[in-house]
Amino acid sequence: MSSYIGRNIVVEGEISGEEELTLEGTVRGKIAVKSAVVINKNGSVDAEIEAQKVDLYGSVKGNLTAREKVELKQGCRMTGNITSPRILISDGAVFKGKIDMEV
Amino acid sequence: MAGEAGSVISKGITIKGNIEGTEDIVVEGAVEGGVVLDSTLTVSPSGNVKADVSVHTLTVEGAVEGNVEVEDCVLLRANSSFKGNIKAPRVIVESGAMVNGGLDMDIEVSEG
Repeated sequence: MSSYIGRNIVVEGEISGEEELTLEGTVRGKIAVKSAVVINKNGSVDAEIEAQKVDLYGSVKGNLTAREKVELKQGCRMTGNITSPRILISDGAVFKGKIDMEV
Repeated sequence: MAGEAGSVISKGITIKGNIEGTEDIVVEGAVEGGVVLDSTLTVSPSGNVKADVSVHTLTVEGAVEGNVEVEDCVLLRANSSFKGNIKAPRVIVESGAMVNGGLDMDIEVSEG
């Protein structure tokens, strides 16, 4: 079972663990998980993110480190630096920051 | 909120910090810090909450440690454990629940 933070929830602090995490709400602080993080369309993250894999449909302000892959989907907004061996940016994704694929 | 699926903090996840919101949350993992909701917080048998909690309704099947203020009802299920103070108009403690702390149901106890 994966974790889900709903649209009407705000988390301020640190989320850590092994499980997959799906965000529809707001997180400020830090996210460090050993599996995938999915930030849905309504999701808003003002945090440093560390994960295996990140799928971004919503908005992120902060640095993002993925051990496997980052996907910036259509309609997402991201400000910050990405460190990941593989990065996919779809048409319609908005991104400002640096990309580092040398992991 | 009605119709919302609600949030789940699953078994392998720890949140350190504050959680605020208007929809139901089920904690199967760990939460340390504070929880403020105008809805229901459910702590599952595997859930562990060490936090000051202010919610509308609280159901505990796992472990909670902290000061708890509830608008409506606290339900401490069998095999749950609670340590701290509870302030709520209605508190239900099932047989087998471990409680260590204070209860305040906010009623004036008339003497004599």
